[in-house]
Amino acid sequence: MRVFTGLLAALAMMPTFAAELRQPSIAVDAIVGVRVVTEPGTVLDNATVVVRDGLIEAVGRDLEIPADARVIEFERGEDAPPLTLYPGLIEPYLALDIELPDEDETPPGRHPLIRADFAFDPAHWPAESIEAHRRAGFTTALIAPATGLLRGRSLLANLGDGGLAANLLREDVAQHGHLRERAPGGVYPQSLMGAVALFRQTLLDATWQARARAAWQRNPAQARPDWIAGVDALAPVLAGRQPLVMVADDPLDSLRVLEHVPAEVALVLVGHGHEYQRLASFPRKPLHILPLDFPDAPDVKDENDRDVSLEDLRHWQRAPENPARLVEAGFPLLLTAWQQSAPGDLLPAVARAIEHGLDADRALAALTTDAARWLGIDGFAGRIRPGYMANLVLVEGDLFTEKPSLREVWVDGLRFELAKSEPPEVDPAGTWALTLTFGSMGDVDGELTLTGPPTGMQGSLSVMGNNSEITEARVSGKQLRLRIASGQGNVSINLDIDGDRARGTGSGPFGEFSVRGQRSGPGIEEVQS
Amino acid sequence: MNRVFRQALVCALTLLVSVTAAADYRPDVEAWAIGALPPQSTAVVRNATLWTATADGILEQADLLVRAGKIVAVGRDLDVPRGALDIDGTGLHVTPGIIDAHSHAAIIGGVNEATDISTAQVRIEDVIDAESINIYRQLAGGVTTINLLHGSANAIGGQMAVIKLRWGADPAGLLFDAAAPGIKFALGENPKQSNWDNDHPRYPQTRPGVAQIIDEKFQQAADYARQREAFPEGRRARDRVPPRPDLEMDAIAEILAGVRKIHSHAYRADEMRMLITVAEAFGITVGTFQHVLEGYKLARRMAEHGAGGSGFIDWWNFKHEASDAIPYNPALMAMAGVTVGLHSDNPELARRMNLEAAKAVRYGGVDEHEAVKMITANPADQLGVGNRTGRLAAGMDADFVLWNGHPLSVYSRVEQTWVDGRRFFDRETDLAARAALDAERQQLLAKVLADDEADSEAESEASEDEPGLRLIGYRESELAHDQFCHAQDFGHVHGIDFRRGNR
Amino acid sequence: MRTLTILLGLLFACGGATAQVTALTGATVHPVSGPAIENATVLIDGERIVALGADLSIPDGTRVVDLRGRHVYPGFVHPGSALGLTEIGSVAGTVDTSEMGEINAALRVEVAFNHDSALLPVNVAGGILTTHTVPGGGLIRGSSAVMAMEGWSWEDMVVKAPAGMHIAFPAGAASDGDNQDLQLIERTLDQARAWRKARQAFEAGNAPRPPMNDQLAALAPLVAGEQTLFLHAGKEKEILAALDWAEKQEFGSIVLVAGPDVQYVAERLAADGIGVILDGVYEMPTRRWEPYDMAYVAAAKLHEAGVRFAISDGGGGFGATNARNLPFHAGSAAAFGLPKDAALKAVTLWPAELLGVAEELGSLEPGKRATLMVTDGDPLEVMTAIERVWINGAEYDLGRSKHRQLFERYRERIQQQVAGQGDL
Repeated sequence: MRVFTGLLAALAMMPTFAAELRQPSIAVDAIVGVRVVTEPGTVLDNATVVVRDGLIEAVGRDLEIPADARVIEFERGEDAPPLTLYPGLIEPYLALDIELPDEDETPPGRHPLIRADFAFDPAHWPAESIEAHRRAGFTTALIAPATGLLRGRSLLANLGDGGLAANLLREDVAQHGHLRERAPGGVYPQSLMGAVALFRQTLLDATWQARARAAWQRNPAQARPDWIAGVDALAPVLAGRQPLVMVADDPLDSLRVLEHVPAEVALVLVGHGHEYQRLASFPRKPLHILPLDFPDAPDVKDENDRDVSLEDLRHWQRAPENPARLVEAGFPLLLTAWQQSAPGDLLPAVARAIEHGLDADRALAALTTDAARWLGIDGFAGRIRPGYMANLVLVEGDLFTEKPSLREVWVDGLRFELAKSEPPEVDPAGTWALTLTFGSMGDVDGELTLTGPPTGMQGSLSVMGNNSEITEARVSGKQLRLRIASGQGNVSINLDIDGDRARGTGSGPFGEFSVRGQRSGPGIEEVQS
Repeated sequence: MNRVFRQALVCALTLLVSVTAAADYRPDVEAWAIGALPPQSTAVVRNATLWTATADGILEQADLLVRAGKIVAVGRDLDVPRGALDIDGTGLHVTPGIIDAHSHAAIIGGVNEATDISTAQVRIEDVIDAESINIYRQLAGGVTTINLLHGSANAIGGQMAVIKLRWGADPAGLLFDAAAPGIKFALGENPKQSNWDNDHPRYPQTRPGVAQIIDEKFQQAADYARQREAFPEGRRARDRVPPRPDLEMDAIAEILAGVRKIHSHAYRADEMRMLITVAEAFGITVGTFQHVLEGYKLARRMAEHGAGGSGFIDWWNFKHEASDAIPYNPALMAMAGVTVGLHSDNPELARRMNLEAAKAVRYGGVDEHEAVKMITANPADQLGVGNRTGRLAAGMDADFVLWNGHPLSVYSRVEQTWVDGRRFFDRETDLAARAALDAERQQLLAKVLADDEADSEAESEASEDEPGLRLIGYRESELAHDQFCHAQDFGHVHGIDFRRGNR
Repeated sequence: MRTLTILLGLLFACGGATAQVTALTGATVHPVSGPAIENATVLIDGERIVALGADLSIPDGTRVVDLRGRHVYPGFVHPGSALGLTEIGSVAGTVDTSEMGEINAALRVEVAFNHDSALLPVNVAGGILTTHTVPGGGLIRGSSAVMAMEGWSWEDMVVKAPAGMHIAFPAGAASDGDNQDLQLIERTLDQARAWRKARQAFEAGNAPRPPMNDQLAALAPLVAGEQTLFLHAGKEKEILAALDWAEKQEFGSIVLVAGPDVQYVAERLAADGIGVILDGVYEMPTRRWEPYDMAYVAAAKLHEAGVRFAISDGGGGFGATNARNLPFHAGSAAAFGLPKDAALKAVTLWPAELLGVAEELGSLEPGKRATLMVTDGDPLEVMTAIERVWINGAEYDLGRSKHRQLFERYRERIQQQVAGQGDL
């Protein structure tokens, strides 16, 4: 991403600076006076949670607060809903597109869609999507490759800052696949039946290659078998030791996957929301990772509108029942924010599913304890329990509501405050000359351009000739909050706007800085008026 | 009665109706919504005109008895078990269920794997669309079995799937497992890429090239089969590198073993002769030529070789190689002793195959009963299911159609269609179901309109349908066709728009 | 009255020096405009029918064609085909159905009508004796022509040209008030009105000569209300929007060319007196969730509502080769509720009326062209054989059909082979 590399490059001119700020800070916190849902079905009112060095040290009512703890207390009005601390949510399917090599670059021996040997590397760290998930209450995610027919291996990470190095929990968690893929450059396969055939051939190849190579190694005095790239990584899948997570597009696709994946494989389906239509047809009941992107109501002009599809109307009505129907039918279930337009849309969708029959504790388990168990981390994740990772989410009232109000997310004991937005009181549109001051290291000049209304601003930040798009610009009261995301990390800047002057602070992977600014040009709106 | 109470009552009643209706078969526009298939009845059709498609010919005032999915008896004054469903067939005609040996009406995700010159490894059975509304609509036209074929983009296409139109079943439940394995071949303009917007030209670009590549693939597969055959079993194999299993070669080896039948798209006489000679060199017989436009020019050769002809009756001149297509082709091929079937290759045409058979009478004077066989017994034989369906005879599957008049008359309509002794289509039931579906739709529309929030969300949503499209809400598979074969495009017909014609 | 007609007819017949009078005798004649007449005679002189009835006296020197046991029907009038403009669909050089660009008002299809197209004899053999050949490219597509299916040149074959101007209502205009395509059409029509006014002023000697403009001149009769507009629209919403739009434009006569959705606006069309060309019976239902016979019943619904309509076959270049299947569209509409006599009219008399050639064609009546066919039964039935054909008073050699020729050639060969002669 070109977006942000410029800013990083500019800041890299201060060599010793980053190291200074990367020294760990010792953290002992006691969150007091909150309601704690330690795990689905278990609630402690007015309780305390002690966090030390990234782990939960103690949970309970009437705890003695350690002497070295920073006490975190909240002022609450009489009528305010209780602040509730939940275990951090676990996203079992954070899909990440990986760019395929050009058709010309695919060497003999490798099919461009067969990428079972793919594994992430720190350069793939999806900082932007990780922050979006964190803001939605997720603290851990299975990060999965989303390109190819057999796509490679996922890894499990916490969603803190500091990249993969600071957050990796497990590598090689599962293999991923999706039958509905077409090869780049118009080569085989370009149809679904072609993709299925390639899938079947690949499983055969994996078995054959293991046997053929072994035979040749034992007896090299024979023609050496050709080597097929990528398929060896399927060995643990075919042996049932590693799950195979397949995305299914519709009920018939689910059945198709079930038919073509051998029964000894630990198959998991990433679903589509139409499962209710053919539940009785499933020959097995594999674990489902279910998206909850319920459809909007069809666009209806009036009651005589002939063009509204009965099929769409039906699905609109029934989709929210889908999770409950799967549970009733005995399918194990996890939930994913995948397919939502933003991860934050998941919780209201869960609330709708609960309205339509999904048990609330079951829903919470799907996002915490059940997910942790499937991922093999239930000994230290998914609950608020001593010894577990201090992955927490703090909510006003309940988590599963139409408009959940998330206050804080803790990842590995580090606190991320998600301050509430106030209605905008200023309009920062225009061009701003900024000065970024890095303590004793000196100043860097930048230019910030913002357009659009305060409720939906866009813009860019230019530092030393490099231009970065603003990922998110929000106005809350008199404060402007900017975020720039990139593969290298996030930069956030908070500015208090006072007329044409601004003052505030910022932070990034390279540390904190202060900011001063002066509006030097009008916003586009003003130019037009 | 106040309004709220009345509304509640209406709701409760509607609910009740839908619950009780669930017990019976109710046709629906969505296959999944059909709870259970129609029951397998013991039933008799009395006093009807039976077109047996057997040596018995047409039986007047005869009865047809079915039980447990099979035809038990055909004849007059049959002994009918007590409690059998009794259908008065007076004035009605009964034919075997229609069999369409060339269809793409329920294939998901592409009819062609057009990339390589041979894609023998791909299988239509992996991508059957059990939700295709074409299944129900074709039942309403008297069709009970269709052969889902790969397209004609490559010389050796994919493996076909024969399905029965059991609307409501899963893909696996649709498969007609008795059918002989088959594979699509294609000759002429399509495999040589004559009419493609072609970014990826591939060998071959000529008819000699098509002939050569088929021969080459056959040789490869023969070698492959020999290697597999020669590979030792048991302990001796342990230190030997086994031949790599290859799904493409497996399928072609099955062709050479005579297990898998070739159904080859073919227009011109020369290329059909070519395939016959190549097949004979490998000791195999071509199953059918599909479309078989110039079949009449080598009909005796086809008959001697044993290839069937499965054709359009009157499509012609849409491509250069279709210049000499004539509607008399079925009559002439039949005269020469070829087993002739008529097919649709088009989901709309498939709904009136009886009229295609009638054209065989119109053009060349085929006997009416023989014409009915061209859409029943003959395609059944071609697909290897002639001992199961396509005829009204004891022991056959109870796949049959009730017509309200002469089955070849333009004025006749299908009243009922039965598959495996289950009544999947009944015009009366259909008319009743429309009302129920309409009521359901109205109720849901009202619900959307009453749901302010839903409404506001939707306003920003643009209609998904492209305005120029004549058809609304269809699944991709339902409009799929072999894009390399002919000129159909269901989508963009706006008035008379010739621009989309004849690609 | 009938005697007078016959006398007048004979008088007329005597006037023609060389033309022979032909009497078709003994057949059941189906005039379509009235009830069938058994054992009737059709008297043909030159191009035209001069008399028709059960007990006509046949003048001396008349060529008598004995058609006992046969049926005589008017030829089918195809209400919208590409016949004459296309040969082999996939060979671009043989296809003239669709010009590029959006405004093609000045195009006349008759000038490209290939009188020796192989498609013509094949379709004549199916009873298609008149075609309304229609241009297909752009928004304003140009003018169509009603053509006889036989002749030595397109000039010979013109029955009526131009038959009308064709405008495709832009589909997007149904939901978009600012549709650019529709604005383009409107602008063009406004310019045509202005041009026409200037031209009239010039002709009256009140203004200078306006610049020549082929397109605007071609549109002048349309905007003056003197030419029929063939308005093509697709789905219900588009049809409604097209009708609203056309109302404001104050055209003269309008014929709506539309698919099966037209049934949903039948009452309005009947009330407004707008004629319809139903563009095909063999169509998929417009909406996936609609009943299977939605398109099959469209004609019956139009008829019940009292709409003037003709049945077409979807047209298009692909359809042109098989324009001969037009009668079966009508027959199938009859299987789904349209009365049989209406079905027959919908492919004979009614299209002639909508195309403005009912004085010439569409039924068997004295004074009309002797364009007719002899069959062994109901011509909407697929199994019926069309045995002989007359076009413009002359018997047509059905052996001109390439299909018939190949059939006869290979039938002989196969018969020999079956008899054990000749190799394979």
